[in-house]
Amino acid sequence: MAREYDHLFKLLIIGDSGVGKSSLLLRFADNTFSGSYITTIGVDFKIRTVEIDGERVKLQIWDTAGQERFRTITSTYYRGTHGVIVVYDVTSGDSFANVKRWLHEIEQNCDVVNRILVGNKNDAPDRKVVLTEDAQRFADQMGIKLFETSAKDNVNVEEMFMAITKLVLKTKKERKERQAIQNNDTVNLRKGPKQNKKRCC
Amino acid sequence: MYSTKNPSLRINEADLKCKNGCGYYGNAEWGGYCSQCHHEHLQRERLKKTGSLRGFHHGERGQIGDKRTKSPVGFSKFEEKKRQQAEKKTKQLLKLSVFRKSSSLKDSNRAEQWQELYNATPELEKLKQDYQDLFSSLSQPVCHDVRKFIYSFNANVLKYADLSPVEELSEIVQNFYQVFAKRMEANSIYIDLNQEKKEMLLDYVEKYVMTCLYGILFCPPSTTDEEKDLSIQNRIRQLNWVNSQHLDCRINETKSEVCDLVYTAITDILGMDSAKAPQDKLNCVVRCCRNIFLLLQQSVGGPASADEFLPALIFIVLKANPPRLKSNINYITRFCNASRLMSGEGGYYFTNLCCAVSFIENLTAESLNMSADEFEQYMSGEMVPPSTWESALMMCEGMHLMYEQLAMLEDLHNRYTCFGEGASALKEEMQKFKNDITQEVSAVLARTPLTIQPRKTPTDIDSENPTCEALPPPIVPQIVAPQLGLDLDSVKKTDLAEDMQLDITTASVPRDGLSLSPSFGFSRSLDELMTPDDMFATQESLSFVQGLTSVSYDIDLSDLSADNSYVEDVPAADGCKSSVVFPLEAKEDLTPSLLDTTESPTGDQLPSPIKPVCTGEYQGFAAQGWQIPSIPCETGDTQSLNCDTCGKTDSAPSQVSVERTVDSAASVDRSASQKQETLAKVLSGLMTTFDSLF
Repeated sequence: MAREYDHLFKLLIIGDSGVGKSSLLLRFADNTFSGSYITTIGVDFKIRTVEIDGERVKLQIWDTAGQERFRTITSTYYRGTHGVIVVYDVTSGDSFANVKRWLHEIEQNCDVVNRILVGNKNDAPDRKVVLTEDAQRFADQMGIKLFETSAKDNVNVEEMFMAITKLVLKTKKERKERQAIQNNDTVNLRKGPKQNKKRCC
Repeated sequence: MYSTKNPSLRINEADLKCKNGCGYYGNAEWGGYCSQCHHEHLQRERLKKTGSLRGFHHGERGQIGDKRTKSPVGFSKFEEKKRQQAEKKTKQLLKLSVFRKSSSLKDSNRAEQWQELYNATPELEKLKQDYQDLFSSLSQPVCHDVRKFIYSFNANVLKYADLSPVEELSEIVQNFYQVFAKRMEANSIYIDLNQEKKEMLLDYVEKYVMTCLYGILFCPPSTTDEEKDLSIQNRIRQLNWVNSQHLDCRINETKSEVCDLVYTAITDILGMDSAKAPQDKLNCVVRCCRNIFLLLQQSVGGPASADEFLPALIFIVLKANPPRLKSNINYITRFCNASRLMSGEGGYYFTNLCCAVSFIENLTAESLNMSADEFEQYMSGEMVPPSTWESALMMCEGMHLMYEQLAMLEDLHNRYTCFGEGASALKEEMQKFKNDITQEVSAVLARTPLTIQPRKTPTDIDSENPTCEALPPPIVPQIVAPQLGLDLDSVKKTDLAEDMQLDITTASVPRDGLSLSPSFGFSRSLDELMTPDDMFATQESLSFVQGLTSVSYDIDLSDLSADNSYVEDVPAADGCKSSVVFPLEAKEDLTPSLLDTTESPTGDQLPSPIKPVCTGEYQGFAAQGWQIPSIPCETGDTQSLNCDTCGKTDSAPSQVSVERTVDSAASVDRSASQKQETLAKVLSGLMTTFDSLF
């Protein structure tokens, strides 16, 4: 009963309501986009297996509800999370202002976790209010990577998910090394990846 | 019931029970059997097949399908064999567990897993804390035994985790519960425990083991649970349009309380995924269902019947779309202590939940009482039914927002009133302070009639300044300084003081001021002299000098003639002081104000309270100290200044004063040379006075 992946990571997408968390996930997992807006209730989750440096990484991506009223539930989903994607809307200054609060929430709920900052809806320059420089400065200040994406136009979405996955993978390997478990050969580098056997939908 | 192609919303109580009719609740995952019958059934199936332990590769869905198609054969035949099999198996397991313990730990992979097993520390810590009371009441050997048991069990499961299909693991776990329960009955160390404690202990063991093994046993990679999760998730998302009318359940979505309860129920069912121990998950289901009953009560306005419960539960599940729904249900059915699921509230609700899920899976147009066409259109998203849910959701969200904002407004209002109170208090205080000050000032004024002095003539200094600027004024103080020597200050002060005294005395100024006022004025002049501003410095120095000259002459005059001279003298002295005062205060601004106030103390037309306060302060300060007289002098000066500046040309009064002062001494010329002369004279006069003083 061999697993068809080498790593399983849980990623969490958080951010204000309506910034496009579900759209990002839908774009990444199913490569689709729907303009109509359906509020996520509680959480949603999707799975996609990607390959990074010959290793198959299965990503379990959890999409949380941004509304205040579901905050109590979503906080329970931080548990066991390897990476968190904090999303804001480049056309909404408020959503960017709230990023700080979300980062704070991560700190409260997770010990060590990889984070990434994502400015979504980066497809209408005339409506953009959060300047890249400002966001970049903030990201540098917090020591996290910044990506500006558009789920609608499929810009940077793949790159962003890959970046967080690499970060998580790196962290895992570093931790493993630090633990200095005698046998490094447990890392299974299988060749001939029969990938995406279990890919959803 | 579950397998019917056309699921109905109404399920009889009997349908929830085990197919075997044993009276326990059945379950879809168990093919409609209760756990016990399912277990027996499973054994039979296994025997029917090769009997090999590895006979379950094709996954559980296929198995259930098998079970469904195969009619249950009379099972008395298999009773014996099944029992034998079970016994053999437990023995085998025990043997294996003992045998393999050491070897398993050698395996690096195992060790890693083992480590990960205990990584879920926060939950385990919390669990330990929750059960601290229980363990503190237990004896040492009992605790020890429990721990040992848990440890060996964990090791055992780990061994099989990768190799065995999940059904087997489930059996192992269920066996473990039974073994532990029997152990508590049989073993002598547990003999002291009452039934309640035993149950708690069993509960603890179950929770502990499952929390540890959660990562391995929940949604194991060997099953298709995950796929099923995703498919039910998609299915539910497709059914997003279904509303309570379709389900024929009477949920009054537009009622705010009902909506809140709906949300609570949704929250509960969503919380199921975040719990680790099966009974905790089960508790989430129970809480959710209780809330559903509550909201039905709210909607219907009376006690809700079980008939209404299932549609409502389906509705909640549809709206909540709980994550990993199938995995959670499977996990509970596999690893929750079977006795829990077979009876009681938990069992009932859980079975209902399974029904709801299977209803959703098999939902068709007929089950919603609509045409197939319509159903298809809805499913494909071509059509959106008029849904009260969405609008109610929006509305309730709006209401929710409104409530939040109302609360915020309330808070703001409170803060505002607080602020207003503070402001008015502050205002009152200020008013009081102002009154106090004015009272005190008037008191001081009453005490010291000096203030009323009306002499404000000699603006001489100012008037002379322009003309005097031709002179080398800065030199004069320099000259004075070297002449006077190091202790110039003191000398000057004393000198001036004396001069002033003289003046004042001659001027019949009331008592006290004499010694003080001059010194005050002088110190100020000194201060000014130090100010960096050249212009001012020069002016001041000039004025100072003039003051000095006037003073010196005053002395003479006073000496000579008492009353006549004083009127002019005093102003002269004042003038010097006033000029001195000038730069010290707000330079140009303050003097006029001072003048105004002093000139017309009662008819103060200036609206700004600052000015009177200023003067008040002034006087107050003076009054407080021993320098009281100095102020009157100043005010007099300013007044005089004002008069001069306002009434006449600058030069005229200065001339007068100079004339008067210089009267006896020398010419009354306004020319600079003359003034220099007078200055020199003054200085010499000063020197002489100093000499005479010392």
